[in-house]
Amino acid sequence: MRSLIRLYPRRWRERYGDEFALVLRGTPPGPGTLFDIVRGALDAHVREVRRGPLLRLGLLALGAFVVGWLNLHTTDDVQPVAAALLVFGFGFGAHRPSRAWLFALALFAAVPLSGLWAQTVSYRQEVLGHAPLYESIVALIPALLGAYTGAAVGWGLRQGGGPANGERSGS
Amino acid sequence: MKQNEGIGGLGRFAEPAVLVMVSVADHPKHGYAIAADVEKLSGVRLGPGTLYGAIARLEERGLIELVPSEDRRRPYRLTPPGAEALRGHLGMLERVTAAGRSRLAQA
Repeated sequence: MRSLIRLYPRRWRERYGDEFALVLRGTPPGPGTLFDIVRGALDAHVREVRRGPLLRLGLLALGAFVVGWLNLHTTDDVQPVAAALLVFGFGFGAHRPSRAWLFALALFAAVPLSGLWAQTVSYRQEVLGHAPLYESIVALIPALLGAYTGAAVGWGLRQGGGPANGERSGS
Repeated sequence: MKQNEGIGGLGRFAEPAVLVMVSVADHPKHGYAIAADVEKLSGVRLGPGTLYGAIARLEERGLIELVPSEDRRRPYRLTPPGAEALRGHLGMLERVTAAGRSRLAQA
């Protein structure tokens, strides 16, 4: 059970690791404790990422780049782009539910922008053909679906788990 | 740092945070002592993840602070803003409790 401390971010372990290990030693092991530790680790990672707006922006740019790249290189199949929008949208939505709409729009924007860029520089014109850009609006569906599913999970993680996320003992 | 935010906006950590603050209100306690005290006080057994999630948030808001110690078990104490926030919160709970009892008596 003690090895689960490794699930927490390094900075968190440096700060609370020793004390946490001592508390853990006095806590009865079981699925409830395991769940509590894993959820606490998830929470600590979310808080860690929240500290770095540049990191968040970098990850968003990377996600948008991947979506754009897939849009240009998997033109015969929309599923990879849709899957990427769902997955990235879910991750960012869960990370910051109140901004789910913004993440969905930013990720979606990679689709028409990559198409526009490809048309401008005649990149892979033979593959892309002349599909009108407005058709890319359908990409909003997986982007919004992913982001808001993630937002729902994110809200659930923050709000759920009962009053004290603990087990009532003896009452 | 999220100083001056008080206890509001802590989501699922609000109740554990209040229990931690009540526990360290009289004198400093380390994590294990806080968990034991909270269980004795309220019957709620805080898991380690929840306990340190609440402690980290309270520290970040300046409501509790570490007491310098050589021991691995570092004690926490309530800060003056923490005491003020706790008083305000307990006052609100007292009003809600009084209103609830009064309304139940009329039912």
